[in-house]
Amino acid sequence: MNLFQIALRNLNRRKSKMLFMLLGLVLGSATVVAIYSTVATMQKEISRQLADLGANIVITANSGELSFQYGGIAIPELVFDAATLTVADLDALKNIPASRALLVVAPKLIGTVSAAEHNLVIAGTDLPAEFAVKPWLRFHEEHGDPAAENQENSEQEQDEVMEMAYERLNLERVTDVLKLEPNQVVFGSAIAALLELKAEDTIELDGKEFTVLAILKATGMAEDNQVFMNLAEAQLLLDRPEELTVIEIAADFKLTGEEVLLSQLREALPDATVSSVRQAVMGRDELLSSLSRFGTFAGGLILLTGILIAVLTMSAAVRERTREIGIFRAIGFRGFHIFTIIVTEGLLVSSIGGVIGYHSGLLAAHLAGPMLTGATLNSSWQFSIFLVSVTATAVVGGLAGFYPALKAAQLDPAEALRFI
Amino acid sequence: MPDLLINLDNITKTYNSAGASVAALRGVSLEVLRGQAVAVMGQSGSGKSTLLSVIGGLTPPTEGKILIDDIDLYSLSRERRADFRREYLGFVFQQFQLIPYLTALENVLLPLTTTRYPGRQKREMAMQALQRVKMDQKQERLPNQLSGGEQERVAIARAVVNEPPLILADEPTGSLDTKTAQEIMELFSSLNEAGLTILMVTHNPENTAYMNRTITMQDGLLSEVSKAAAGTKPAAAFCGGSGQLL
Repeated sequence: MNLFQIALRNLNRRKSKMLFMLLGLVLGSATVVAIYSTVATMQKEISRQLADLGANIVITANSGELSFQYGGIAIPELVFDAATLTVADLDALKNIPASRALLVVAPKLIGTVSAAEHNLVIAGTDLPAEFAVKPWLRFHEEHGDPAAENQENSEQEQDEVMEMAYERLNLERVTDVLKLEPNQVVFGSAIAALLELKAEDTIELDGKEFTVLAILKATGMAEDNQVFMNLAEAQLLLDRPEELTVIEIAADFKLTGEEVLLSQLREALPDATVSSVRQAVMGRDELLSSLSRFGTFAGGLILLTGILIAVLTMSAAVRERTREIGIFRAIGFRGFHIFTIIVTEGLLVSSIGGVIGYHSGLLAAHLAGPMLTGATLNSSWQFSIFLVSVTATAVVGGLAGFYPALKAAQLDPAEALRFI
Repeated sequence: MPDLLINLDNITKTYNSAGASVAALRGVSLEVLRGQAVAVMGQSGSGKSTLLSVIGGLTPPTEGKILIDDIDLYSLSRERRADFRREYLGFVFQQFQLIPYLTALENVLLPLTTTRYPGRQKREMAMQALQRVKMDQKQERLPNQLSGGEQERVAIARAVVNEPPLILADEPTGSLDTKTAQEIMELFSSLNEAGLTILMVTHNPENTAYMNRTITMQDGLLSEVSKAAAGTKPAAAFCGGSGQLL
């Protein structure tokens, strides 16, 4: 028989009251964990997406846009006065003072051509540059692209670290990826599947024959439905000489500040729209930070409520046990012993609350994730977070028990025995 | 030279409540020798429970000095008095007052919880105490699984487990039937014969037969005294006193 066992036996006797206290602590702890897990996972996801973005500046032509509504029903925006980008704009980019910061420039012309009773979206590109700014693009294995294969092998050997490195901007791909000859095309996975094409096949696009150099691996993005070809060939095929639809740039903002670079680009291309992908993502991240702050505040309030419930429950338990405490004191328990028993009870309940709260929070984040973000959040079990969560809840429970325990320890034994 | 265990010198205790002062003890002096069994009788409100509480180190007197085994009880700090109670006193309360969520054995172990004895020795001591009150066969029962007399026996075992020199009992037979009360009083008597000093508050005059000395309290004063030779029962002689008792 020791003080811990006495605390344990008492908890066992007062199950319903302790369950009430446990519920308060679980609720508080679970809310904080759920919010933290959701926000942390979303931030991780955004960081990953940001890392995925090889291109961080996108230049498009200026155009007017107009929304129409008929009886409250919106129709797609109309685009008018559409300007165009040209190859000459690429020269303008090379002449800006901070041109050294433009690591990769990937111009692209997008249009539609017909083939085998289908209208296909073609993208005239500089393929190595395109691969550099879109690190997620890979040739299907059949092609046997040495660069891609080597990279995959090293990925297998060096697990996630290399995987992340692969996902980031990879300048080596500018030289590793084969340039497209004028009669070669690369098909996106979805459109290749639709047309039942494989590498080395030939296909007629607007009456001209092309050889399929390779099929891209599925990306789940727009590239799956595009046909990539040489930029000059696309301009010829679409009859849009010198024209460009979009210029994607991978810039090094460490060499030149983002705002400075954007300003120089806008000055060089006054008729174009220069957008920073990073700013767009960071804008979303700011929203997430606000959500995080709000969540922390709300979680704090719920946790505070949990603490209050714990304090009230513990205080009520101490009041109910006045007689008992009087007996303990009469038979030789010091105030410290009484204090230890009650704080131990608080710590025990709150530690259990911390363990349940952490797992409930993770589960809540997993279930609420799709509702909040439209995607499943993989909030994983982390020992460090688990430890922090349980410790924090235990400290909260210990503190909640501190005041009632202090009062109990100071209880006058003679007064306590008057309850007898 | 008599072996004095309790020495109360002119003890007063005044309670202040709602602006009014109530004198529970008014200059009580008492000496109890080691090995005596003393019954304290008196009507409700006469001050006998306060006397027990003062001797038990639970209620500091307003005035006067209390020596137990030559230790000035109220010169000790509050926490040291708790240690003193653990080592020197065994309490038997009204209504048994066992801890309801602990078994009979665990209740008896309680006074040993904060001592430095090894766990095994504590258990042996508790089992011996239970054997002494013939409750060792029901050690695993919770209080609500025991009869009133059995609970009282466990309460007595708890009081004697750490072998204190003095047992303080407050109406130990108040809620028991006559037969069980007799058994409990015989138990107290046997403990006294084994050398324990007992100070018992009781309403029941029959209980005095098992004590070797009786004192009566009235209005905070010791108004009547009976005195018998230690180890004899029942108390055979009564004499009036000035308050100085032996």
